Amino acid sequence: MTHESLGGESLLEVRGLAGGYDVVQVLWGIDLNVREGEIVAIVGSNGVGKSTFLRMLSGVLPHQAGTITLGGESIEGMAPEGVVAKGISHVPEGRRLFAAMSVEENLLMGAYARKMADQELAADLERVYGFFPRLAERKSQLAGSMSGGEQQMCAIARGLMARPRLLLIDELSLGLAPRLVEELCGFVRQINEEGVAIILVEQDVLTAFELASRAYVFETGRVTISGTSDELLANPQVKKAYLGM
Amino acid sequence: MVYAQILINSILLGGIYACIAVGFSLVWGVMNILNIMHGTFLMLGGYVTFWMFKLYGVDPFLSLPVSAVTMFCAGYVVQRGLINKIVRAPMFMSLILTFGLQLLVVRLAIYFFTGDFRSVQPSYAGFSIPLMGLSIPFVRVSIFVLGVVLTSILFWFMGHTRTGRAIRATRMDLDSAQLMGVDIGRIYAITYGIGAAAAATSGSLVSVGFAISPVSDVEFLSKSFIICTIGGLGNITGALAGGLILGLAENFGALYLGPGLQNAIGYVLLILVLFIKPSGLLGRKGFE
Repeated sequence: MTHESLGGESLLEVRGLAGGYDVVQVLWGIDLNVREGEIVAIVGSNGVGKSTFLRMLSGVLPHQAGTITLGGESIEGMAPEGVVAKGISHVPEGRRLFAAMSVEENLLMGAYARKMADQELAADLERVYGFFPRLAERKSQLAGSMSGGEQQMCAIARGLMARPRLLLIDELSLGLAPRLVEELCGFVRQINEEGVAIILVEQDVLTAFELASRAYVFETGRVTISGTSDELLANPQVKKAYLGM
Repeated sequence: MVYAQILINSILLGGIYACIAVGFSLVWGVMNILNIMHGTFLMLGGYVTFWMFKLYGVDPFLSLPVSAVTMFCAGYVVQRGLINKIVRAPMFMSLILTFGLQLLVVRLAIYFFTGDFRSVQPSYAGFSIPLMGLSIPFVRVSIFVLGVVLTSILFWFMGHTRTGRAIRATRMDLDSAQLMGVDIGRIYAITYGIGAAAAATSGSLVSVGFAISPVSDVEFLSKSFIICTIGGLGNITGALAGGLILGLAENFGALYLGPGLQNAIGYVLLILVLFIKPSGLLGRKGFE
């Protein structure tokens, strides 16, 4: 278990979040909260609304009902650029890097929402390269030409460049070899130890529980089970449905 | 000697063609809008230069910034106020909207400016530089040089500024750019404004070496279309290559096939390229 902070201040509060795409309602009233410096996992099978939930948090997709507050301040109806500036950064599913741009340009895009002096920007690049030395070696390489694991590092690094208070990571392990997933988990822990709270959406339940202190299980747009990772690991329903035990 | 002269003329023409097409390519590549207004902005830019010369005696090359800035503002407003409302709709919608605007503006231009062909005739219009038995027209060389300089500035802007990066990011992955905090509506308006400014600048240049009328916009629009398709969409080097190829093809075509077919050659090239490499000679997949 990483960075025990169950008693920390509340950072994100989501109440009764509902909505979807056009006429298809995907989420039916999600309640969820994240404390400062915590890693929270969202698990569940395909198509239960995990990514939709993240898209609503980052303001890309409008929601129909419910409230979202970050650090006690409502971020409802805010456009994505506002949400990023408030401190939520989203690492999308499938990395979605700017393939024909260099690694460094991708990182600079990550800092787009923050207008700052060149010196500060350079310092932030150094900090992120410190986390991911492999990206420093490849900073002028085109992002699309890197391996899947390196692309995922670049996507996380790009997310960090926004200096988030809360980092949303959608499918960290998707399509990656177990050894790489292990390495990426190390980075996620390191980032968390610097004080960044993380919501991790993950289909690989064991990876998710290993990283997160608490987890929510999504089923057809609702939270059916939630608790600490240990509680969920011991839960017979979770064991049967997600761990095949 | 004739060939060398035609080669020089072709390159000079190709440079201005590239300059004409570059804004069209940018707008199409970034927003997937077939911008029928492109020729219209070009024509208006030409008139800015013409009237400033005619009424106030301003040298045509000095009125370039005025032409660029006014059309940038006009383009920004058109995109923010109108095109952004339908930009998510199928491409057909943007075609109809910009076509309607084009008709409106061109009719207004005919009403106010009359349909006469106009050309800016500064005192140095007839100068030419003799070089090893060839004659290099001064105005065309200046247009060429300025066209290349302005296109290079645009190239640099796209590659090295925060806004330029955001425009490229938006072209590559709209959703992802939005997650980075890019205000898409604003970036679209800026892109369209840059497209209009580039068109207007080339219009100002064209009004010196060539002639313009309110209806010449269609001619320049079709040239832009051909150049972008030949060279490949969405990149500035594609517009440069397409412009040079069209310039060469037109001039040498006129030599061998007669000047009557000069304008048809571009369309033949267009069809050939569409058969052989639909993404354009320097085009990348996904930007067809």
